[in-house]
Amino acid sequence: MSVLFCLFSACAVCGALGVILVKNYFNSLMCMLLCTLGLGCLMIYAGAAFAGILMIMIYAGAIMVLFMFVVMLVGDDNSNACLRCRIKLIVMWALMMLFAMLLAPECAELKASVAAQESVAAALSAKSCGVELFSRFLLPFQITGALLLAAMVGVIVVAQDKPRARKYKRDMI
Amino acid sequence: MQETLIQYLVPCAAVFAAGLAGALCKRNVLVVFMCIELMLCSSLAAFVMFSVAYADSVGAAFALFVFAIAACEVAVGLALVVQLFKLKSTVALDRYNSLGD
Repeated sequence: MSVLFCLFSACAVCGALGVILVKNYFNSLMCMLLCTLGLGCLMIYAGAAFAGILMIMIYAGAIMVLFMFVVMLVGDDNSNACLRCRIKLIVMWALMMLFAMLLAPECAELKASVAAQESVAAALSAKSCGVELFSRFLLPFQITGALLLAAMVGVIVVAQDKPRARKYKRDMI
Repeated sequence: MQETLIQYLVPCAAVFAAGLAGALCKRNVLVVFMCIELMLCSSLAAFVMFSVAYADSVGAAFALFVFAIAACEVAVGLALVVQLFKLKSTVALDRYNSLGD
C-alpha cells in the first residue's frame, strides 16, 4: 500500500467518524467535506479521474454549499468564533501547507501510475461514460432528467410559505 | 490500480458503517441527513471501484445517476428540514413527535 492510498483512506474514514463524533454540527459538516474529498481523491488514485473529479465538484462543491446554507439558516447555539480558534486555524493551515510540500514527490508518482494504466483510463474516461449514457442507458438518463425537474419544482413547492392553504385549513376546521 | 479491490472497498465500507451508525443513533436531523449522504457517497465510491477493477464503464455511468439522485435528495431533504425548523424552531429529532401543528 502506498502512502497516498493510506492518506486518502484515512481522510475518508476519519471524516466519516468525525461526522458522528463531533458535537457542533458546523464541525461535522466540515468533517463530511473531508470525507468526500478523501473518497474523491481515492477514486482519482484508483484511476477513475472523471468520476473522482465529479465527486469533488458535486459533493464538496454543490451539496456542501446547500448544507452550509441550511446550517447557517438554522444557526448553532454552541458555536464560538473566538480568537483562539482563529489561531488554531492558522496553525492548522500552516501544517497543511507543510504536509502538501512533503507530499509533492508522491503526487508525481501518482501521475506516472495513472498514466501507466491506459486501458482503465480509456474505459472510465468522460467519453466512454457519455457513450454509455447515450446508448445503453438512454431511457434511464431521460428519466433522471425528469426526476431532476420534478425535484426542482418539488423544492419550490415545499420551501414556500403557504399562508393561504393554512388559512383555508383553519376555516374548514 | 495498484492495490487490490478489497483494499479499495475497505474505506468505502468503513464510511458506510459510520454513516449507518450515525443515521441510527444521532439526535439531530441535519447530522442524520449528513450520515445518509455519507452512505450514498460510500456506495457510489464502491460502484466506481468495481468499475475500475473490471475496466468497465457501466459502473462509472451508474455513478452519474447516483450523483443526480443525490442532488435531488439533498435539495428536497434540506427544503423539508427548513420547513420543519420553521414549524418547531429546533433541529432536535426528539422534538418532532407530532405530525400536526
